[in-house]
Amino acid sequence: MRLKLPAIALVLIALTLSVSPALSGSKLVVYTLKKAYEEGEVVTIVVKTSPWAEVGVEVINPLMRTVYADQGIANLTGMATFRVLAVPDLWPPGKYVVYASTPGVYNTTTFSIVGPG
Amino acid sequence: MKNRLTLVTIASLLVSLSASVALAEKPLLLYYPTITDAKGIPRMEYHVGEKVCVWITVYASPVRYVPPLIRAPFKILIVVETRGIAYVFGVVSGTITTGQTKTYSFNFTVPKGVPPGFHVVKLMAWNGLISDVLAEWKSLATPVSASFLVVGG
Repeated sequence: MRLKLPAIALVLIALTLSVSPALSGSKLVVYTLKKAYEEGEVVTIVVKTSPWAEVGVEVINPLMRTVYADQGIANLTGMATFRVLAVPDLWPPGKYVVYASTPGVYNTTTFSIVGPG
Repeated sequence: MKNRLTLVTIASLLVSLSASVALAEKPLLLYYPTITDAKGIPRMEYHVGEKVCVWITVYASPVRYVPPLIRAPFKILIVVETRGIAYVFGVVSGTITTGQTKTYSFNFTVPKGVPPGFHVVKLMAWNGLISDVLAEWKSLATPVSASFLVVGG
């Protein structure tokens, strides 16, 4: 019994640590549903990572200004979705960079905003 | 009896370890998100074109507070959304020390084209913008939200 208790404790500690995405070395993929959006359209950002991981996203416009940032919790399948309106004045045409992170890991993707016509 | 006591002690240690990890991940508390008009008067209903002010209080609990924050200013972020679509974003930088409470404010104008109905203001605290801190990104507080009603056409 003396030997069993430390073993049980070690297993419990391992289980406790394994539920933390930051410590488990989780991967993260980010993408937008379309590669090009029109001004005024809703941009959908999808992040795929570990289930229940805390996820942050940030969008940088062509003028290197942050136009959107948000956070959420990935669902059971590790997916988190963010939807943001590409407000014409703040979201000029050009290339946008999306940063996504969960503690310990990050990734990026790009998409474009195209002007009307 | 001795074994049971040991088991209980280990279980208690694990619970406190888990709790301390969770608390360490959220060193700040956001509370009292308040929505007012331009005069600072709390109000629920706003029209398109009207100015909305959002106030949020940040508390760095001595229990939860992580000292490195002293060296690295944090960010308070605001997102306004309706029907799951964000349309306003704002960010301010802040610094705080253990035990301190600070209040930050944002303001925005209800833009043309937003539908009437309930709109949600969500407030968050990060250790930095992801584009700056990359994989070091952390949420420093549990997000809080408040809602207001957009009326009229």
